[in-house]
This record gives sequence, C-alpha cells and structure tokens, in this order.
Amino acid sequence: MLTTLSVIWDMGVFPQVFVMRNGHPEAEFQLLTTYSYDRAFVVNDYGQGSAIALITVLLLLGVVAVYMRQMLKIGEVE
Amino acid sequence: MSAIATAKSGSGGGSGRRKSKLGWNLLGLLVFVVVGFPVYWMLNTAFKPAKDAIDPDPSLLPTALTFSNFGRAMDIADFWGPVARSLVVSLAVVLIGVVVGMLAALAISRFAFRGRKVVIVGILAVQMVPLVAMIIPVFLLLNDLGQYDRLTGLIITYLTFILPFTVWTLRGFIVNIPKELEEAAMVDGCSRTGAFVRVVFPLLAPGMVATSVYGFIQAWNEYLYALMLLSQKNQTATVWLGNFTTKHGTEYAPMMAGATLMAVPIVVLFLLVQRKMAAGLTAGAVKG
Repeated sequence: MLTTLSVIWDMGVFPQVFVMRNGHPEAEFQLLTTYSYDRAFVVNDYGQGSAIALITVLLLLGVVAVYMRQMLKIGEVE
Repeated sequence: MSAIATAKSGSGGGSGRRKSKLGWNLLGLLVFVVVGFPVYWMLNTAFKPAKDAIDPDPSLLPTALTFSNFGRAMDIADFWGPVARSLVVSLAVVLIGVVVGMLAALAISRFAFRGRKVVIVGILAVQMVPLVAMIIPVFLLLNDLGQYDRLTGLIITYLTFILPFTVWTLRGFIVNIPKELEEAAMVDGCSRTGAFVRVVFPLLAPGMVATSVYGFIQAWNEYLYALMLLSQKNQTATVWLGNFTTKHGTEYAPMMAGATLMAVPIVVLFLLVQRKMAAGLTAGAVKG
C-alpha cells in the first residue's frame, strides 16, 4: 500500500528536476510533469501543456484505482 | 523527519520475530544515516568557505568554519520579505485549513448522510492528482479572477491541496475517539456543542497540532505554485533560494546557508511539538 502511494507521489515529482536542470530540463531529463510545464509556460502552448497533464492524470488513474481498492479492502473508508 | 523513518523501521521490527533486536537496530541506524546525510551535508556546506563548496575531493568532516555564507545569503536579494510572505501564507493556510478541515472531518466521521462514502473517496482521490497537472487551469483561473501575484490567490490555491489532507488526517483522529464519550457527556446534560468543546476537542487537540505542523511544512516547502503565481518582487522563501543560481553559475555555499536559515523555523516548530507529533502521527496514520 505504501508502495502504491509512493508510485503515485513520485509520478508528480517536479521541483527536484526543475531546479537541478536550471528551469529548463534537457530532453533526456524531461519527466511528464516538467514536459507539461515546459510546453505550457516556456513555449507558451497552454493547450499542449494541459494535454500532457491530462495524460499524466489518466495514467495515474490506474494506480489510484489500485490504491482505492486496497483502502476499501482494509475498511479504511467507512 | 529522520527520527520518524527510524521509528518506522523500528516498529516494523517489533511486530516481527524477536530473533535479533540488534539487526533491526542496525537497520534503523542505517536508515537514519541515509536520511540524515543530506541534511548534514547542507549544514557542512553552509559553514565551509565558499571556494571549498564544490571541491572535487571533498572531506567528510568540516575543516574550516565560517559564517560569511550566511552574510552573503542575507544580502543577495531581499531576505526578510520572502520569509515574511512565506510565513503569512503558511500560517493563513494552516489556520483556515485546520478550522474548516476539522468541521468537515467531524461531518464525515460522525454523521451519516447520503453520499458520505463518495465524499470520503473524493477527498482521498483528489490528493493523488499531481500538482503540476493543475497548474495551467489554476494559473488561468486566478488570472481571470485578478488574483495573480496576490498572496490571497496563493493562499486559496494552497488550501485546495492542504484541505483534503487536513480533512483526511483529522478524520483518522476523530474516528479513534469513542462516540460513547460524547454520548455520556450529553446524558450528563451537555449540549452537542458542549460535548464537543468539553470532551472531544481536548482529545482532538494533539491531532490538530500534528496536522497543523504537517500542513505548515507542506505550505512552507511548496515551490511550483509560488514560482508561477507570484512575480519576482513578491516571491516566497522557496523561490528566493533560486536567486543563487544565475547565468554565471550557482553559489552553492551561500545557497546552503540560505537553505539552513529556511529550515530553522520548521525544525523549531517540529521540536516544540515533537512529543505530541510522535503520538499523533501513528494515530492519524495517513500512510499505509
């Protein structure tokens, strides 16, 4: 369960990469999160940025479903 | 934080076979070293002479002690402004978050109403969305509302992710307080409000402290939204740390001094409430 949560959290990693690559990560350092930011605010393509963000969320939704099932199973959501 | 990690690995050992306590203790120590080293290195770098900061052949122990990095950190750009703004934002977020969060947590843990389960699952699920994924809509929305570059805008934005967290954690505490205590107070002549104020609230206080501290740390450490929603002249402390990186390279030693200064309020806060936190963290148990 902690593993599931960790996967979810680590998908959202942003500042570490962003700051260490000086605000504009090179192609090989891009994550989904930094890529979305890059598209939206550096190239000013808000549409593409949000699209990438949405895809990230959709991908995460699968993991969230697993996490929710685990939570429901141990009866945490009562 | 490192203390928690050690405690966690320690308690994991307690429930297992009591074959060798020594092994678990060693493991705990190892975890402590791994978690504690970056902090040690930050302090070490903050106090060493700036020219030694990125020595290709670093020495593990401090060699020379200097405070000049702190002086440099304080005057690279306005220092107190960003810190004051960070404090205002974090305190406002925590205050609003804990009060509203407590009411919401009470509702979902004490009252039966239609759609309660949906609300609970919703609160849990919205915490899973990465913050970066929401930055574009939030940015455009605040721009339209005229809240760009305003601390109020930032506070509202922070509440969107601090609140679900507060509600969920406080719910964990409230569930652990037996309903019978409240009922007994009401039998003895307390009103519902009276029973809450006199009986539930004192029991909930440690949980609220733990939740506030955690919320404060989250708001204090937040970087992305502070960067995007505030302009250069209104920057908060985390963004201020970025001033050390310029086109001409990064001044690591003063940066670490700045980071040390920024960690001070958090550590002080943590030490003040540490005893209550240790009890609170296990009782609230947000993490599986």
